Amino acid sequence: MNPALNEPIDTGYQRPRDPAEIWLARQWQDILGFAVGIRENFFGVGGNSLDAARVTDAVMVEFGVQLPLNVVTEHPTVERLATLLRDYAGSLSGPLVAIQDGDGTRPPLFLVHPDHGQVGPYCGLAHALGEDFAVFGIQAVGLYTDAEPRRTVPAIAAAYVDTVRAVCPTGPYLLGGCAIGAAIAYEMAALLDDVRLVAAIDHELLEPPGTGTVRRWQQPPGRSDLPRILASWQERDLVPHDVAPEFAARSLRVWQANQDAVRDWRPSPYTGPVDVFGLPPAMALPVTAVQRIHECSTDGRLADALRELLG
Amino acid sequence: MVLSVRRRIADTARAEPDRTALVGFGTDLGQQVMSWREFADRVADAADALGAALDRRTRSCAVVLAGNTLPAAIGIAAALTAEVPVFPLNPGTPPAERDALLGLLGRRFGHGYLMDAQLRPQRMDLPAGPEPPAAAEGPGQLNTVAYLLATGASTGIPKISARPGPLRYDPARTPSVVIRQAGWRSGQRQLIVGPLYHAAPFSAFLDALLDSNTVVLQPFFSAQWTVELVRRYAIEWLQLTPAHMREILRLPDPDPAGFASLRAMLHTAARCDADTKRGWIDLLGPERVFELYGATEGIGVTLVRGDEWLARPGTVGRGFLTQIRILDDAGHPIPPGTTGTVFMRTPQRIGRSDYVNGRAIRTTLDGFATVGDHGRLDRDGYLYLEPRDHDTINVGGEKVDPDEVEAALRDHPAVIDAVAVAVPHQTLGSVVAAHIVLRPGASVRKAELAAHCGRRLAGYKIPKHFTFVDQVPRSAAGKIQRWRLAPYHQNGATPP
Repeated sequence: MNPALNEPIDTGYQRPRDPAEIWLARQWQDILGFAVGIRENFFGVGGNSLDAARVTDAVMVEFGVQLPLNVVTEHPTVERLATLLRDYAGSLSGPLVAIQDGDGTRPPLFLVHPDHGQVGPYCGLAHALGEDFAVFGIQAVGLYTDAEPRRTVPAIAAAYVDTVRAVCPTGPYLLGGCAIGAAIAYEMAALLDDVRLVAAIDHELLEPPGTGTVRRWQQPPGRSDLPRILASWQERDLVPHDVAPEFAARSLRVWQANQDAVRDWRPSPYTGPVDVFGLPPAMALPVTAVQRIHECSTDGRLADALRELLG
Repeated sequence: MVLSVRRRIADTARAEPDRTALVGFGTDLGQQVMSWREFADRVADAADALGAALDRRTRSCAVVLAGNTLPAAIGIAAALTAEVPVFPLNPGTPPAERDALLGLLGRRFGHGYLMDAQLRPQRMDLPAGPEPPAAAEGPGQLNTVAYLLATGASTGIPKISARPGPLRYDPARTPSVVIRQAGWRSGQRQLIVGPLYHAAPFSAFLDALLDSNTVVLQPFFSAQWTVELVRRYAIEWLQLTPAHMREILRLPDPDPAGFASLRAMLHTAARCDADTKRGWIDLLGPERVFELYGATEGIGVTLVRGDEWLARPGTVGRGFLTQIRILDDAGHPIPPGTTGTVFMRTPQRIGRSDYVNGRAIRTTLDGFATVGDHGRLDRDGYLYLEPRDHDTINVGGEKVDPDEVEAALRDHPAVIDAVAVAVPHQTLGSVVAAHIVLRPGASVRKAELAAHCGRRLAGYKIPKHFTFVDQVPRSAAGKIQRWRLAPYHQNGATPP
C-alpha cells in the first residue's frame, strides 16, 4: 500500500529550513533509522503504516494535536507535513533546536546561528557528520516570536550558556558556529568549564556557492520592500513557501541586531584553542587565542576534519 | 443447495436488501456505506461489463487493484460472479515487480482485464510466457480457476498460486468448517484489516461475500483505528496478523470493553510470540482467541483456541480435518517429540493450489505434502513449529527473499556487494537489514539506497537498516553466509 509512490522519490538530501521541518526531519530519522531530505517520500524510502502512526504519535506528544490517521499518506514529505505543524509549532521558537540525536556515545555539538539567526544550514553539516553525532542548533531569539533580540555578544552568550546547561549541566562542551556564531561560541567558552572545542566555521563550507540554486543568505537587504524580500527567499528555497509574512521583518531585525553586536564585540579572555575551518571569520578573534587552521577545500572535508576533532 | 456466486449474492440482497453489505472509507476517510441491494446491483453491472468485454478466444483473467476500498471489493465480487479468474494486485507494487507478476499470469492467460476505479474492464495484453496459453476450448475452460494470489509462500520468491474454481456457495462448506469452528457466524459483522491482496483477508472476504456478512474495510492499518472500528461497528469477527496484534497491545490501556462485541479474533500469517499471545488472551479471554496455521497452498490446517494454547504454550494446535506426519530427511516417519519436516494431508484436496510458475510442493506417494516447515508433535497430536531453516525474512507476515533485495542493492552504482538479513522489530517480528560493501571511494546516503530499493521492490522489502562493511562473508564456493551477519535468528535461536 504505497499510494504516494508515484511521486518523485529521488530528490537527494535537501536540508530542512525552519524549526518545524527540523523537528519533523529528526522524528523521521528516529523512526526510519536514517536521515531523509525534506522532499523524499516517506513510503518510497521504506516507511510503512506503522512508522506513519509513530509520526502522528510523536506530533500528538509534542504538540498535543491529533492529526488525521492518513496524514502521512496525504503529506508524504517533511516539507508537506511541516505545513500542517507550523500553526502549532510555537514550542519550537526557543533557542535550542535538536537537529540530530546521535548514538549517545559522545557529548553533543552545539552550533550557534550565524548573523541571520537561523540554524537550518547546520542540518547539512549534521547529516555529513553522520547519524552517530548528536547536534543541537542554537537559533536567535525573535525569529519566530516578537521577542526583542539581544544586542551584545556577551549577553547573547550568557543566555545561550543557560540554554546549553539546561541539557548538559556539565561538560565536556563542544561549541561552534559561523560568523557571529563563532564569536558567541567563543564567549560561551569563556563562561563554561571543560570546553573541548570552539569551532569557527566559514559559512561557504556549509552551503558552497554554485551548487544548483543559490541557497546562500546574502547580506541583509534594506527594509524597503519586505514582501519582495520574502518572495526572493522563497524563490531561492531559503524559507518554506508558507512562512509567516512577519518572518521577513523579524529576520531583518535579528540580522541587524547581530551585526550591531559583533561590531561592538570586545572578546573576553579565553586561553583555549579556536579551530578555524576555511576562511577565518570577518570579525577579529583575539590574538590571545590559539588558532588552528583547517583548510577544508570542499564541504565534505569540513565534516571529515570536524569528525576527527570530535573523536 | 450449491449456488453460483451470482445467485448467492442475489439471494442475500433479496432477503435483506437494506442491510449493510460494505462499509468503506474514501481518500478523505469519509465513511461510505453500501446496502446489499446496492452492492448486488453494482456487482451485477460490473460482472456484465466484464463478460461483454471478454475475448472468448483466449483464456483471460481479471486484475483488481485490491486496496481495501469499495471499488476493489465490488471488482473482486464481479469477477467471481462472471466466473473470470481474478487476481487481486497490491496497488503499491512497483513497476518491475508488477511486470514480473503479470509475466507469471501471461504463462497461463492471454489477456488480463484490469478493473479500474469505475469498474470498467480495461484489456491489457499479458507478456507471453514460454508456453503459449492454450486457446479456450469451451466455456468450461474459462472457469478452471476461481482466483489467483501472489504469494511468497515459504520461500519469498514471487509466485502466484491458483485456486481451482469456479467459486461456489455450499451451505455445508461456506465458510470452511475450520473457520466456522473459529467463532464465525452467518450474517456477522466483520472487520477486514489486512489488505485484500493477501491470502487470509482475501479468503475472509470471499467467505463474507457468500455468507451474508456486513464487511467493514479498513483501508490501511493503524492500531487505534482498528480498535475504534471494532467498537463503532460492534464488530463480531476479526482476523489479524501477529504484527497487528503487537501494535494494538502497544496502545496505552487497550480497553477490553471496546472488544465486547467480538466473538472471535483469528490470527494467521506468521508465528506469534508468546507475549503477544498472552496479551490477547488477557484482553479477550482464551475462548475468543484462535490461531490458524496452514500455508496458502491448502495442504492442511491446524487450529488452536486460547485455552488449548494456555495448556500447551507454543503449540499451533491439532490438525483440523488434516492428518499430520513428521518425516525425517529420508522420508521416514519419526516418533512424537522428535523434530522433522511437517507433512500434512487433508481429504479436501479439491482446494489445493498449484503453482502457475511450475514450482511444486513436495509430496509423498500417499498424498502427504509439505511447504518445508519443521516441527514436532506431542503425544496428543499438537503441533509445535521449529525455526524455519531457510533465509526468508518474515516482515510482519510478508515473506521477503533476501536474494531479491541483494540483487536490487547491487544494482546501485555505488554498491559492489550486499547481504540482506532479518533483524528483530518490536511489532513486525523482523525487518530487513542490509550490509553494504561500497565501491572504493564511493559514498551514498542510506535514504538514497532505500529510495533505490523502493523503485524496485515492494515497500516492506526495503531495508530498514543499512550497515557499511568492508566485505561480506562468503563461503569458499562464493555462497553468502548470512548467519555470520544475522544478529538474531527469526525464532530466537542464536547462530553458532
